Amino acid sequence: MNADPKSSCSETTEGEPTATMTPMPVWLVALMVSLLFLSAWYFDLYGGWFESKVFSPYVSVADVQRFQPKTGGIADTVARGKKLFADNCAVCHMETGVGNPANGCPPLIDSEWVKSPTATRIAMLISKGLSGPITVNGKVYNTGVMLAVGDSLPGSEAEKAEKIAAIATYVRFQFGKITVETKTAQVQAVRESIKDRTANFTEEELLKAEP
Amino acid sequence: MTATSTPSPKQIDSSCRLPLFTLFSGAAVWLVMSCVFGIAASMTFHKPDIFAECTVGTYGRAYPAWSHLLVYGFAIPSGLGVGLWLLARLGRVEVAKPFVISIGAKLWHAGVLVGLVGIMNGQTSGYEWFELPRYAAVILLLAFMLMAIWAFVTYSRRNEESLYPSQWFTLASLFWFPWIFSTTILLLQFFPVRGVVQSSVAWWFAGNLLNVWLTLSGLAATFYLLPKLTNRPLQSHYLALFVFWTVLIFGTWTGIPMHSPLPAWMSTLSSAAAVMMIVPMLALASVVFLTTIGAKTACGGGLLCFSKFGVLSFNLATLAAAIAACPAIARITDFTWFNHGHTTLRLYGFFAMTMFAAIYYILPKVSGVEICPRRIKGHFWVAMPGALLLAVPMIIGGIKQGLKLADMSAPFLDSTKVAMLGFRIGTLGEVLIAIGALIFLANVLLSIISHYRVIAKSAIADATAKQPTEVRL
Repeated sequence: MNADPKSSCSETTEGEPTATMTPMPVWLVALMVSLLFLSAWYFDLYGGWFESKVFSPYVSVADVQRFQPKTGGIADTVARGKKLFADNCAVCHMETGVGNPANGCPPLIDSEWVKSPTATRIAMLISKGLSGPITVNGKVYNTGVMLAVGDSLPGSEAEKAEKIAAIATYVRFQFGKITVETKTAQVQAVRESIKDRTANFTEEELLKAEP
Repeated sequence: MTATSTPSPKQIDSSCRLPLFTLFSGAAVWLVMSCVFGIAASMTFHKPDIFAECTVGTYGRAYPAWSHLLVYGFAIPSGLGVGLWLLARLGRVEVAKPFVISIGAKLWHAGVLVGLVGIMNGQTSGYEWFELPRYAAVILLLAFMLMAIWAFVTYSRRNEESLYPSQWFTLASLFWFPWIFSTTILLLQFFPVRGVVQSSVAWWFAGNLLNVWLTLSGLAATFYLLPKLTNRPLQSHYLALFVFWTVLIFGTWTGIPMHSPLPAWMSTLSSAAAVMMIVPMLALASVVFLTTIGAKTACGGGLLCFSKFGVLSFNLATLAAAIAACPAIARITDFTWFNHGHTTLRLYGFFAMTMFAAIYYILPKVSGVEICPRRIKGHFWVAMPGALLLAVPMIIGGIKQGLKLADMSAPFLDSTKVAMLGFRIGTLGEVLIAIGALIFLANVLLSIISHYRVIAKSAIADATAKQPTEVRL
């Protein structure tokens, strides 16, 4: 083999290559600027402006919200009520609202107590609890005692009322198909009228308050 | 700076010898190995149960091994070796601590081997283009730093103050890899981020590795070789500078597929960046066109052919990526073999071919032994059709697969069946590339062996020439 480093196929000149100082062609800069403009436009159309909720193929928060299930305006209260219900009520009434008849715990689904015209009864019931038997959909449930769940909720009186309203809204929406929100003010008024009471209600007393 | 302090090109070349021999020979061996795994993975498409009794040959291990060896085994060491030589030659300075760099190179190759064993044992990380387990990743990072530090010292000791474009590209590549690699090691392997953020990190890394690092390293070689081979100055300094900054600015955003399960802004920015890569692509095409037009050098399968085909492949791959970033087309091509096809073209067509040209150019100078032009031409005429036969059928197969996937009435299995022909043709490409890799290995090893044989011969000649004089005295 040839030990001479001079190569016939690769090297044509000695020394290092040089670069000319010819200026940049203008069209390339113009192209870059116009592509940048188009890219920015494209981002504006499809990028969702750095919103972490927006995934392709949706392009904006408004676009995403258009595809959310419609609930008639009480969605937030229902969602909050659902969580409170799961924490405070579902032990006996079950997450699905079927109750626990063996232990005398009545169902909530389609119950006339849930579907009453105003939420007065349910607000009283949640606030102070219930003693004795109760008739639901023509069947007697021998409830021992339902505790005063509403009174024992954490927080101030105003917070308790707000939480009870959320639970009532959720229960009436989920199990009674009532799409009217139970307002905090309404619950506050009911609780004001029974604030000195310490005993549980009975079925009779509740029916008297809201026939 | 005095004339005496500036070493001659020959002195510079011999200072590069040890690290370059280590880097190039290892790279050539890994390239052949990667082809073996590539063929094994490709055989699965002909006979799915071919490796039923042999775990290491199954697709889930052969494919990661292929990509691991191709990128970490072949691409990065060869890119580093070429970059080191460019820094030394263009700076008119001898390489600093060549022995330490060669230790770094050996450590790197050891890390690649450790990674390969890990993958073979089923310890792949599971991220495409980042398949190696974390113990191997740490070795590679340390080895790279060891080499990059002394490459940078070589640069900072340079005697030639003015910079040539290849130096910017090489320097950026020295810093880019530790940055993206260490970030990815930390975010994926040591303090893993949660959920789909992992995918976004992995895609970001792959985009930076394939679209930025390989481009930086490859174009450093291209911008050196083109003017040398055509005996014309590079046209021009400003265009090359423009390519440099646009690749860095736009390339680093690429990599996230449009329909990935990530917030829309990430994939939107990424596809906009893929389209913006048309700008450096056109700038590069202008550089190559203006530099080579009117040159009297015939191509004929020699080094210029390798280099030109590399640029052509780069442009085709970039164009394909830009087209696939358009929403209407991405709907078809996303998550099909299309994107893998143009990535393969970038790796084999652009990067590997450019590195072959650079190594065939550098090695004779470093070893002092010329490589027979016929063997270089032979390599070209095998590797060029191989790269095309591997990438193009995969691109076409990907489009067919995407169309079938979009067709609601077609069963899912149809979408994989239509791409099958592409894979089977791809096996032929893979075999051609493997033959090319073997020629490359032979060329590199023969060159290195001949160097030592010449030294041994002259030593013997010296000894025998001295003997009689001593006797006479």
